[in-house]
Amino acid sequence: MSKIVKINLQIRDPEAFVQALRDVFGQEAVEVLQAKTTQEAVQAASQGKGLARRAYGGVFFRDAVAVVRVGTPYAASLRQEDGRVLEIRGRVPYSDMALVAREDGSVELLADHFTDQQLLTALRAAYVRRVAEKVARRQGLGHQVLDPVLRENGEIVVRVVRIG
Amino acid sequence: MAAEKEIIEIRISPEGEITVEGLGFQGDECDAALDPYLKALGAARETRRKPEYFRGVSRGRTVRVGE
Repeated sequence: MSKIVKINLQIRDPEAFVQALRDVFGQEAVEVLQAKTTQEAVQAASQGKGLARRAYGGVFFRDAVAVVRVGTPYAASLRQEDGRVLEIRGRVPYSDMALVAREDGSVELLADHFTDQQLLTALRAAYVRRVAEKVARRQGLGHQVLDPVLRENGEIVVRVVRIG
Repeated sequence: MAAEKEIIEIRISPEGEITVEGLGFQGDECDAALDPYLKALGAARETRRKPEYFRGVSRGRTVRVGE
């Protein structure tokens, strides 16, 4: 387990996290457990009926709701406070990156500990943006979610502006 | 005078801690605006009202959420 890094973000909306994975890796690169609803997919994965993910050392677990396979390339970008754009590129190293379900039904992202921290930052930003967009849609017209911005101190800022 | 723009600012620290802050809201409007985002992102862990809140016109509320 020493080869695992956690994203340190409470994922309350697995569907939004799957969308975030697709934002970063592309639609085709993210395998998602087929089920009628995300909730059902999480339940199945939590009982060991999920997608198989390969962990460090070649060990397989069937606890994944969504998987990005080892070696998958990624190219993401994050706007910085000074207007420049941080380009993040690489490949998923050593282990599959996976959104896994625990027995209690909670989910978390598991990735190899050599995973680029900037990639995790991009995933956090994409997830929070997706959640914010979902809430903004529910709130009705007049809520606009702006692009995430990376501050110099490493903090990501997602702003929702109420117009009118 | 032009109305101040209302902004909900969500900040994620490098450690994954999430802070939600309302800017430019009037009093209790801030709570109503922030609550759906707090519920969607995680349980509130710390709430701090700004002095302006108690003066009727609020610059907002800061709430930290996370594990």
